[in-house]
This record gives sequence, C-alpha cells and structure tokens, in this order.
Amino acid sequence: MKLLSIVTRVGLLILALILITTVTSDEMWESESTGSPTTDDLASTLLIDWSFAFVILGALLSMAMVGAAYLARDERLENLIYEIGGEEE
Amino acid sequence: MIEPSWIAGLGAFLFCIGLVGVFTRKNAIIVLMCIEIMLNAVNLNFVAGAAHYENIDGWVYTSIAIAIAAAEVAVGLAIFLALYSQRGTISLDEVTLLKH
Repeated sequence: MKLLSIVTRVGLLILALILITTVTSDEMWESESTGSPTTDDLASTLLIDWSFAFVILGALLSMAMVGAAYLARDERLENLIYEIGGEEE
Repeated sequence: MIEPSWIAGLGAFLFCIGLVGVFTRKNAIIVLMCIEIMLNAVNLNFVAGAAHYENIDGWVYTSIAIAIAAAEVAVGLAIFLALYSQRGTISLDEVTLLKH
C-alpha cells in the first residue's frame, strides 16, 4: 500500500511536469497577442449572444440553492418544537 | 503585461496541485476545495486564451464555469452536512455506501 502511494505521487509529479511544459511551450503562444477584450464586450456577449444560456444558468443556480437548503435543513427535535411555537419540556 | 503563456503555466500548476489533493486527501471538504482549485485552473487557461486571441468566448465560458462551481459547492457542502449529521464523519474512507 505504501509503495502504491509513492508510485502515485511520483506519477502525479511527472504528469505535472509534462503538463506545465506542454502548456507553456505550445506554439499557439508564439503568435503576437492581439490585445484584450473589454468588459463592455463581455456584457453584450453575455446578455445578447449567450442570453438563453444565461437564463438557464440562473435557473440551475436557483435549483441548486433550493436543493442545498433542503439537504441542510435542521431536523433536531428542539428546533422543530421551536418552529411550531411550542415549549420544550 | 504578463505573458498569457505564464498564466497558462500557472493554471497547469494549480491544476496539478488540485489533482494531488483529490488523490491523496481523505477529508471530503479538502477534496471539494481541491476540485475548486482544478476548476479555477481551467478558468485561468480560458482567460489566458481569451486575452491572447481577443476572443470573448473564453470569458463567457469562465463566467459560466464560476456559476456552476458555486452551485456545485453549495450542493456538496449540503451533502457533507447531511452526511455528518447522519454518520458523524465526513472522512471519505468511512463513507463507502450511498445508503443508510
């Protein structure tokens, strides 16, 4: 088990070196950078070109928040009694 | 201005840190944080590509990925909270069944 753990860590280190070398030395970075888009471009793209995805994303976030609140609800007896207005004995 | 290739390299480095954390840690919250590091590393690469090519789509993908990551964290933390209240632990070694 210890050997497997060491082999895994060494493999991850080798993967990291390969990944960083490959990403930084890719030929796509050799061409001249053409500048940077502005926040105005981002706003118009999000609200015009990607408007449907933006709405779907909002619905997804809403569902996730409702689901998270449901999963994290407090079911302890004293809190349930407090919520219905009763006194704990 | 920082070269986009350096930003992409930083993204790759952060991705590897997250990968190591996911593989080696047993605490569920730390694993969730490492997954977030990996997501943000990919976002960094999107931003670097968008800045290099002056293409706004990389920024849009990043915005969507951030929102999805927020939803994922909310649901993940809620699951861990429910798990802790039922079993008293969030160690991934102890949680081996998807039922009571």
